[in-house]
Amino acid sequence: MRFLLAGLTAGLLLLVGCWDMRELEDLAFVTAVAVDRLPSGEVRLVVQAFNPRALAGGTQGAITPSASVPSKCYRNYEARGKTVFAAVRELALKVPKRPYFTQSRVLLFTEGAARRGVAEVLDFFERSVEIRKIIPVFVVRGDVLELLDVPNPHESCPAMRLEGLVREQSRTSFFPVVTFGEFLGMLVSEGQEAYCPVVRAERNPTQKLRPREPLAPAPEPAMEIKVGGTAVFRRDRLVGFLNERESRGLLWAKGKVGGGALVLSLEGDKEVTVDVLRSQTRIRPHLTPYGPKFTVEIREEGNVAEAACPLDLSKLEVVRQLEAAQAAAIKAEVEQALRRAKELKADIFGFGAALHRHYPQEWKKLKQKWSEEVFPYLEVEVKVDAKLRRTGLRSKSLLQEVESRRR
Amino acid sequence: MRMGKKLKDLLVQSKLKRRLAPAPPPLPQEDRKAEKKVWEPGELKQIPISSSLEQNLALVKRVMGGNADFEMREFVLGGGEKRAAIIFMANMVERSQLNRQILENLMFRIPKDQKVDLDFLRDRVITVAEVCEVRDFWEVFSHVTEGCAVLFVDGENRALGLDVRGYERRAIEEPVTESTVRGPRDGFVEDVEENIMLIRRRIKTPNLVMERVTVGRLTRSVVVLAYIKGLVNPALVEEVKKRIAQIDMDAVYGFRYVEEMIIDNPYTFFPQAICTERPDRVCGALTEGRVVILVDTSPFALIVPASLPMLLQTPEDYYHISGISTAIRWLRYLAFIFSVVGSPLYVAISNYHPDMIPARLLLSLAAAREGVPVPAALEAFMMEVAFELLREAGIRLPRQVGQAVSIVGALIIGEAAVRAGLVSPLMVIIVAATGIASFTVPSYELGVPMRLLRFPILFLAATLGLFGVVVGLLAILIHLAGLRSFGLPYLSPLAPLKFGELRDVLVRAPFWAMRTRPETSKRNWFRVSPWGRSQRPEEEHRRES
Amino acid sequence: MVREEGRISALQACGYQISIVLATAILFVPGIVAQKARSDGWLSLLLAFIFGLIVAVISSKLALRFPSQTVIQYAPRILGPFLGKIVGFIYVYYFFYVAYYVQRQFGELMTTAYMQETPIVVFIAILTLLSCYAIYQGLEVICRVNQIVLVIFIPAFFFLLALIAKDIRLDNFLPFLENGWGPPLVGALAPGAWMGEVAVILMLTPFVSDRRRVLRTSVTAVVVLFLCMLVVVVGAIGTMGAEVVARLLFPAFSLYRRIHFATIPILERQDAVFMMIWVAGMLFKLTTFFYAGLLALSQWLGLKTYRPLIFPTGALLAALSLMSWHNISDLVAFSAEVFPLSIDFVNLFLTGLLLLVAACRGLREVNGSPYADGEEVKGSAGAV
Repeated sequence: MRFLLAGLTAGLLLLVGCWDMRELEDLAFVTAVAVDRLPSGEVRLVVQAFNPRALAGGTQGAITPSASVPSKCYRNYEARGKTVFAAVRELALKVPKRPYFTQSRVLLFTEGAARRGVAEVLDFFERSVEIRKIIPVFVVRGDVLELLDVPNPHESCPAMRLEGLVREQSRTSFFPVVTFGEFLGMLVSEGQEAYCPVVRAERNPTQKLRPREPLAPAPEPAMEIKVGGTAVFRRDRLVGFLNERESRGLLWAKGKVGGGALVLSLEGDKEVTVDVLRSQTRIRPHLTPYGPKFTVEIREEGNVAEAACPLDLSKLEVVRQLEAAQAAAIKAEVEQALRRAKELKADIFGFGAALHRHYPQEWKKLKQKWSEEVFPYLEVEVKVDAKLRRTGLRSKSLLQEVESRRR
Repeated sequence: MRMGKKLKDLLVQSKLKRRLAPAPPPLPQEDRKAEKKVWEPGELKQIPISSSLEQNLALVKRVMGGNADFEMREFVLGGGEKRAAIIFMANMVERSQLNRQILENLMFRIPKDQKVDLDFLRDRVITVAEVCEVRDFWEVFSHVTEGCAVLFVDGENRALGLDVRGYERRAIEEPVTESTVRGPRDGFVEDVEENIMLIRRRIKTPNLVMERVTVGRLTRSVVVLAYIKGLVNPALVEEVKKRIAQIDMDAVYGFRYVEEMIIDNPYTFFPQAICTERPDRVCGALTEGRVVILVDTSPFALIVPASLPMLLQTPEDYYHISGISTAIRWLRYLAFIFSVVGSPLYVAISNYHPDMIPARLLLSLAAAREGVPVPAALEAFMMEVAFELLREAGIRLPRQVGQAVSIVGALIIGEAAVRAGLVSPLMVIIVAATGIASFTVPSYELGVPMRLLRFPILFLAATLGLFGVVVGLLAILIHLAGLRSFGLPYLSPLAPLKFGELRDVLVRAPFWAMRTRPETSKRNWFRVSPWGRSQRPEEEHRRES
Repeated sequence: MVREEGRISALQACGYQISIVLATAILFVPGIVAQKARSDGWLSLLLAFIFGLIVAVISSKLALRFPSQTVIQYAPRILGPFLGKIVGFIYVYYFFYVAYYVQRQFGELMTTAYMQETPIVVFIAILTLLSCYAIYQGLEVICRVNQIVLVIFIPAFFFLLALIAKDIRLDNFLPFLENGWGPPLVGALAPGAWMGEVAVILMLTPFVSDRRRVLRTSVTAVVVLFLCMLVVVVGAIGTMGAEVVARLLFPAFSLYRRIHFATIPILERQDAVFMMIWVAGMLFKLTTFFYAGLLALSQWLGLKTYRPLIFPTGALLAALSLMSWHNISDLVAFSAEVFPLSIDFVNLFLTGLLLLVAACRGLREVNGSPYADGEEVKGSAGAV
């Protein structure tokens, strides 16, 4: 019996092939996937695949091995097809390795693709095991090929650079971070429209055009990748954008601001800048005879980072004044964002979802006409409770002392 | 197996009967002539010692005559005319003792006109501690071949076996295979008597029992069973004795002969008895209620029953602060697991689940793999085989050359292979780390099966990825859980779970916290007296001050 | 070296009861519950918990009436030889039926999520072979390994869930009772059926050394299972939202794929670790059913040992698991609609019926059974 078992097992194992085995060097690790739609309706896929040879040995990976052009650590491929998967498989005609998507860092939609609706192209990405739900989603303004081929020695692979920018998002909070999973969740949930950050390739102002000298180090790159702003979807179609301040307004309302510079303009052209530490938000629906009304309660804490005006921060009333200014600034940002969302008739704030959670019956009545008739005229009250905690290494501002001495 | 043995017994007996059919053989007078006849033990047992010295010596000569190291000394007992003879193996007795305490006494220290018989000699004349009476020739030759001298006296149908054994022994040295930093430095030697001494010196209770059994038809090796009465489960002792009694083979040279004949499951790679050269480890096992088997000519003792957690403990654990021992123990457990799955995990992850590797590491991995001509699985297999080769070569060669092997192998070949692009540098690291992990397994006989099992798991990893690794590990786990060593489940106290005993497995609890004795000795429950805590040194000190 | 069936401790019996439910339940329950009850999924679990307790109590009471026999042996005594045999056969079939269902589920996840190109038969065959090996070694060994597997499985499971705890949003559990108590009740059906599988104690009681604790072990098992399922349902709905979870085939798997740490990227994408521990859990889910089925079958046929049946039955189950469902949609529909009801029928209805009849007829174990009550079991050490 024992031997029978052993024999059976051994036999089975010998019969087992290596169906799913793939050698590392036979994989093309895709780091970024960009989806575009051609006017004909065909899907155009641009993928960025890593080139490990560039890491293995200096110039080996260059197009011509003997040339002194440094090798790039990535290659971009384009493929077209009627559907996403067809395009993915068409890549095999050009890529000598198996495109392997599990390590992809970002998922990009071109503006055109997003305007046509993302649902039909998203199905593949949701169904596929290889695509992770934790990667961030972007809408690309401008040419995606340009974006994916911006050289930069700081993080030479553009996809990885995007990932790095996302990691540093809380330094400005000028764009939302939306993972693919969250994006999908927003697409399907009731009373919540989807949004995602916007990325574009910009001209790099630090580049100076001068004749290239032999042996001179590489010049500053001509282009720069910049993330900022929010793409707003209704259903699954892109309908418009929020600028950077409005994006932060949206994030305030979502309770997702983890940092950023908040500039408070005081009377007389004076500016104090606050370093936002953390924030919390609560959206509360109220039922009134005239329909639902919402309160957005924001609690925020910040430090004074810069005071470009003669202010005595050691005085309590000055701090209170600043706190009020802070609250006003936040409120302004939120209201600005809300105005823009109302214009676009896209409830990216999730007021509908909040109503659904708290008053499901009411929601059922309003569901059909929510985005057309209710949301654009929604009454929203923004209450901000802003706190200043610390003032950095000094209390009085430098300007104040300079002025007092002058006097 | 058992049937075969019985059959053999039957054969031997029938042969004996056929030989014994003609009555006691005539005793011809030629001497010192190599005899063609082969004397079987059973036959010798049948021949009693006769009262005629002549006859006895004649038979002795017939049996032992051809031996160059056999000595026979005939003499006359002092105080009369009675003849006597003493026989012994020349190189196995201590000559001075034989001369002074036996021959001198027998020849000169007997008062005149004394009626001399064997009892008198034993009681009054011979000043040797161990003396025993011998009645047949089987016993005579047993004693002689063991190194005792046998004294025949004319007119007596008995003889005296005198223990004057003396042969060269290796001095007690530091154990080679199990060294500790803080532990005692004495290790067992080949001589079983010395080993008994090493144990006795540590456990000074009359309840420590040493039972002596002889096994092996030709070698008649001494096997000593040691246990502590009152701690050991009597059923266990009975079982061990029964199994040892069933051993019937020509030669027993070392512990492995005994071990292989008495373990529960012959089809396994895993050791079911712990073999150790350290007396302190043996004593620890004795006080846990285990049985220790010492085999003459082997510098190792066997501890039964064994369990896997025990095999992963070292005596060192008990010579350090308990917290430190616990940490080191866990390091060892992890290394133990890593030694099986190290390189298979690498193969499985890189070939089947590259998504598990963080991006940057993955890229450098892929870069390292560029240009390696063989698949990762084969690469790992080659490296593992090379590693095993180096290890084996290092052990077999003399120590000075062995170092050269490791230098050539590890540094030169490894470096050159990486340079040449035959293997990726990471694979060298992984295989080396796996190898080192396997060396941290404290018992050598457990480290070897782990290294061997790595190969099938490597194969599984190459064919089925992490799923294969899990399947392999589960199969090993089921196998281990199915093993028993003398009735003790091999994985106890992990499975079946015995919470109380985990304190010496998951941690090395301080001695004052390990209050109860383990499962193996059920009867006397407390290891530390229940009020033991108050006797902790620092508290005593506090009470005094 | 004759291996007897052996004795298991009450703790091991409890482990057996946990394993018989755990592995598949945590994988599929969130999806089924979210589909039916949406954000009130956790309420469904509460209801299922009550259901599980009822089954646990009924089956333990029945088991304690005949502590030295299995249900196959005493069913004829309760219902008469003919009906009893039929009920016995239903039990036999039930165990095998779940066993091959489990095999298929296992194969489907492996081929969907990890190794798309490997034929499903490979996974099923390997798992079945391992299971046969464990069963060949006997109940004691199954329980021992099961203990170890659970000790690794449950903490690892909770650890992985702790990694996504930071993403749980309580908002996802609102609205509360949007459509009344109906949906949570419907949603409770499947997890309730799963928890009802602890009725396997009917097959185990004769081998438990401390039989008075049978009720306690069953209840403990149900509590543990409830906690595990609750945690995974709360985790899944809390992080992904009921709408997303309801669409997923393997919600727990998707959940682990969402572990996300921007600062510690090494913790991301480690769902293959989940697969590793899940294989172990699945092996024991299969083994527990397979063993119970083999034991039941051998007793139903009046055999002395089940050992000769292991391989033929294993092969049969593997074949059945491959042929019974055409595709994954078939399987999913089956596990949501047919499976819970059929299991409830056996675990609640049949067991309840047996207990009722036995109670009405006043049937109890008479003394003189092979294992008299209160018999002490010898320690394993040295008792060979």
